[in-house]
Amino acid sequence: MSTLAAPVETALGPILELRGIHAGYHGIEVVSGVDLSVLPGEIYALVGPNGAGKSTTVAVAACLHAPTAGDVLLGGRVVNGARPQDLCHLGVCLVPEGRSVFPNLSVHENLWLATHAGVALDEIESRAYGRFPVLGTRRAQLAGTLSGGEQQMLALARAVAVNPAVLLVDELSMGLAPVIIAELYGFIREIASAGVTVVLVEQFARTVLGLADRAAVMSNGKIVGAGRPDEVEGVLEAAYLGAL
Amino acid sequence: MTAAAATLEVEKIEVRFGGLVVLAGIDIAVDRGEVIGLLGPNGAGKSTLFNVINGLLPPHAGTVRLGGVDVTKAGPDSRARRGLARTFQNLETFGVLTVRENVLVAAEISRRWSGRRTSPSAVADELVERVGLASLASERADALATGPARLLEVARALATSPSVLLLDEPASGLTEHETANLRGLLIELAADGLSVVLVDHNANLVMSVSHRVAVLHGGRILTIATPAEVQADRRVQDAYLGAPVVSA
Amino acid sequence: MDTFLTYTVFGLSTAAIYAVAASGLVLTYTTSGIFNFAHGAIGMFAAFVYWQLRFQWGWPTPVALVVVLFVLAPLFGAILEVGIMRGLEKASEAVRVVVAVAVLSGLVGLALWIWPPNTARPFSGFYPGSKIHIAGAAVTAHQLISMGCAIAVAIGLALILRRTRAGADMRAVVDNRALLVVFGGRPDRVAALSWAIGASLAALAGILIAPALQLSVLPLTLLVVNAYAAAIIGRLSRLPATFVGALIIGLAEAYGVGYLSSRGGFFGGIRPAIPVLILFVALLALPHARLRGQLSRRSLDWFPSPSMSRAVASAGALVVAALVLGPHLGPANLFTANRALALGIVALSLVPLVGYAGQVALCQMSFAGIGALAMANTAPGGSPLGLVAAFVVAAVAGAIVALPALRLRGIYLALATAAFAVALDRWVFIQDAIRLFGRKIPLFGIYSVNVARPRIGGVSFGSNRAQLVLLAMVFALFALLVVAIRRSAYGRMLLAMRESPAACATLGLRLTVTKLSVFALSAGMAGVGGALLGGVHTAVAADTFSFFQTLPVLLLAVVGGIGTVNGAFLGAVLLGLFQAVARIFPSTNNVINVLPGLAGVGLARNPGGLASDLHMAVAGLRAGRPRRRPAESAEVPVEWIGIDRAITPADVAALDAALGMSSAR
Repeated sequence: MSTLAAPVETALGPILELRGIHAGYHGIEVVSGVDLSVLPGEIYALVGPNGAGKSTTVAVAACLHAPTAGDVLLGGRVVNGARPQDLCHLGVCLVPEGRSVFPNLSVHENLWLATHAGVALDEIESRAYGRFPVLGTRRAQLAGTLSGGEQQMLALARAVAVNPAVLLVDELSMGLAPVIIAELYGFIREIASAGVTVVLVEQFARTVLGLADRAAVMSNGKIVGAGRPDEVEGVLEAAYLGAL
Repeated sequence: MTAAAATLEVEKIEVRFGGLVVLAGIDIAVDRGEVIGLLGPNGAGKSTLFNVINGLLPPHAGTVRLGGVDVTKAGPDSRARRGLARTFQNLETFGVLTVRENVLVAAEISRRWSGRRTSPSAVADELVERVGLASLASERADALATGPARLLEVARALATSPSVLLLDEPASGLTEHETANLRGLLIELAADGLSVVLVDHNANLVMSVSHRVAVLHGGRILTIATPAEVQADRRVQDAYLGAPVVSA
Repeated sequence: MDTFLTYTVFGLSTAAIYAVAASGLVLTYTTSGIFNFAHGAIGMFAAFVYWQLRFQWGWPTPVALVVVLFVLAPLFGAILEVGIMRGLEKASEAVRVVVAVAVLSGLVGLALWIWPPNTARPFSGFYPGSKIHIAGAAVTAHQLISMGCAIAVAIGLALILRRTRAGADMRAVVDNRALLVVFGGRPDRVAALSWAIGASLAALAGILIAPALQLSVLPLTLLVVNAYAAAIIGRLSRLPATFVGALIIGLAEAYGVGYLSSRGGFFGGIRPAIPVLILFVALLALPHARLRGQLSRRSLDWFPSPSMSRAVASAGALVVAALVLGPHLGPANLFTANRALALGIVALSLVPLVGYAGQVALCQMSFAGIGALAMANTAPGGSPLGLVAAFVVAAVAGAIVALPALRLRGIYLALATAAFAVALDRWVFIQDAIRLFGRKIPLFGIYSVNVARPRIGGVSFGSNRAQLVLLAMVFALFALLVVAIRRSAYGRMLLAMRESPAACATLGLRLTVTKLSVFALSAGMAGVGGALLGGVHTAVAADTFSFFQTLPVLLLAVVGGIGTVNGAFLGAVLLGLFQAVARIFPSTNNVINVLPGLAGVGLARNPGGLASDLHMAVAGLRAGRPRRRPAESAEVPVEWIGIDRAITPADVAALDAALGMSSAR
């Protein structure tokens, strides 16, 4: 049965699907034929060593980066070439790699810019400060002066405040202490149980596999294994450290 | 040739960007004819280390020696004149020149400082052939696909007859066939006495050509050992694959 | 003490105007990444439009102000961003600089067209005649209003940037442009808005500064150029530092007027050069641009390596053409052709520097002027040694300019060389003489200097016809030199350095030596061009070699195709054609002034220049009969004829340009 069929079936089919994606920069292909399908409401982890093409893959999924071949499907509809801001309005929200906040803008102003997605500032702020009270106490502080964990909280709060259907998070845990990662993962679990589909891109596979419902392992631009966390465990070492 | 000083020695290199410590005391010595693979997760500082060795980035502390001579204060051009060559992760080919001209100009530049008598044009023809680009010799470099462009960078670096070669992601974008050829070339070059430091995402390539593999993590060298030892090292696996966290 | 206060008030009021202009410049640069060389020209143009509305048509002041500041200027700024600058996002820095210079040049041409010079245009300040006294110093109402405007602009910008979402968007773009897209914002709209605000600020500055000088095109354009210095002190990113920079420049200039002008002598005339000298120092004091890798990208620039035999044939053909055509040209056409060829030699000198080495310098006519002076001073009888002197002196000057410029790239190099050119034409050239190493060397002064036409080996090139042949020969000789460079190891090194300085350094190339040498070579060639141009005119004044004279030469050379000798020649032909057309149809004269600018703007579409277009066209004609038929192509089906040659990178480039792919990638 084709997932390209009528919208009614999308409730059962994947909410986000990549088919045969090839992508690169300046002629350098970094993603070579990736197929991925993410089901509604699940936590999906995309793991692999650096340079494997994970970030490019999610950038393609968010229509921030145009693939050289392949299709991006949202709810069964091809959305290739859509403007990223339109996709943002359609409910696909990306938290890019690195601290995805504007460092020279205050916490308040960072949330203010989230209103581009069409949600009122009051609502965004009350949700963000409600879930992460520490942000409320730092309202006027420049985001760049927050701790790494607080910056990720701000980035997540910003992303979640606009009611996304799909949340793509690139390297959530990078550079954070385990206790902070644990808190952020708790938050991810909360929003997933509220029905939001979450795709987590992580280099540290074993860190994220405990959280994910399903996972895919990427290496050298290709998916080398996909399935439940225990199913992909076996391919990790070869993907990361090579086979002799 | 006696096995005296290592061709490239890096001692206690430290680099900070603002408050962020990128390299916190790196020591590596590369012997003549040795291939050292450099592995490390994202942001481990591999490219930064290359820039320090190459002279594009001054370190906050530490020493770089080429053939026993301290070159920490020297610019990239002076280091090239002491036998150091490199390729770039972000391609730096001379786009408006042809493939052959790219290698030719490198040979011409190096002839000026080395006083070698070999004809640059012969060097260029030989190297273009050797890396397998002969059929593309008169193409403009910016018209090349990634794979050939990477090989062109290697050929251009070799045109200066270096004793130490730093390879930054030479295999990214290469087909399996091209990667296999590159592997063969590296083994040949090392056998001829060239010292190579290799950074690549393709762990299979790194593990199969390197005599030793250094793993960078958090700005330090976690371990430096044979490929088999590195693969079996639990600390390396944790550095790479992460450790489980208990979520709240 | 009173005079000190008076100078201080004067300085503060000009500083206020510079601050207004500079803050607009900083705003547009930080949000769009494109340095608006035309910022001053926009201010100039706005001042003229305001004059037209307010004084010519008698509109009430507030209405005229609102229309200019809040309607026309912002509209123009936004159109400029959307129509031209946006397409340059992925262009090389050299192309960006040249296109912005083209806009400047076009606006200047347009203003000269609409408002012909040499007409008095009284432009009084606000509330003329009213003044108040503060601590013994008289402050005019206009000065007060200027300072008030600067304060209002500072407060207004702070409010926009801190209190509106659009302002937050602007700061967000500066922080992380890509992230704003992720947030659902529109960086393109932010850029258009900031260009609108920037143009409005330029207009305000232009209107405020206009009463201080007569309303005239070039000084107004240049005076707002002084704001560049303030912007550079603000490192093109910090508004408060920019205001401080404006203060330094305004005050330095005022005290310069007060305390230096009265001294006379060499430094007496330094006042007009103070801001550019500050600009020069500020540029050098900027942190050293670190040599870093840059992504090599698909470039549309075109640097063919022509065969020497064809070059010799073309060069010979040019000389023969001069011999044959000379007797058939009337005096006016001869003069036009001679002038075009002399400027063509200057354009040719840009090929190794701007074309091969990728160094955008805006002072080539200054080197030409130095060459003309060298010729005038060493060879009053027309000895060929004068041309040698012109080459040598200009080459030395080129190396001296290159020394500080070694640290600078892209817009900073362009600005520094522009500063050098302005300092030379507004301060040094107009001096009567300069003392160097104990010798008195006459300069242009405020009048003309006689430049002899060369006599070579007993042959006088005194007549206009002989001039044509001489110029053709020198052009041909230099063209062969440039072709030989392109074919040599040195030429490859220049192109390699242009493509990737970092890679060149890692191959052991001394960038300093290479850059110095190409600057010296190029300046020397321009010097010879200048000496010959002087001969064409027989007497030349400083304004022949001003900063503004460099712009059309550079633009036409780049439009012709800066990567090739043919391009420089085409540029010279265009220059000659424009002038010939203007002479035959005087009414078109003004259109002609705008053309180089328009042509330069067209570069945004095809950086390879006309020469590459022509080459493609010729290659297309030839395609039916390929020069070398490959062995296996004997069986080519009939319908393939015309496309049976290999697709070259140049073809792909042409296709990309035709399809508009260049800006899309």
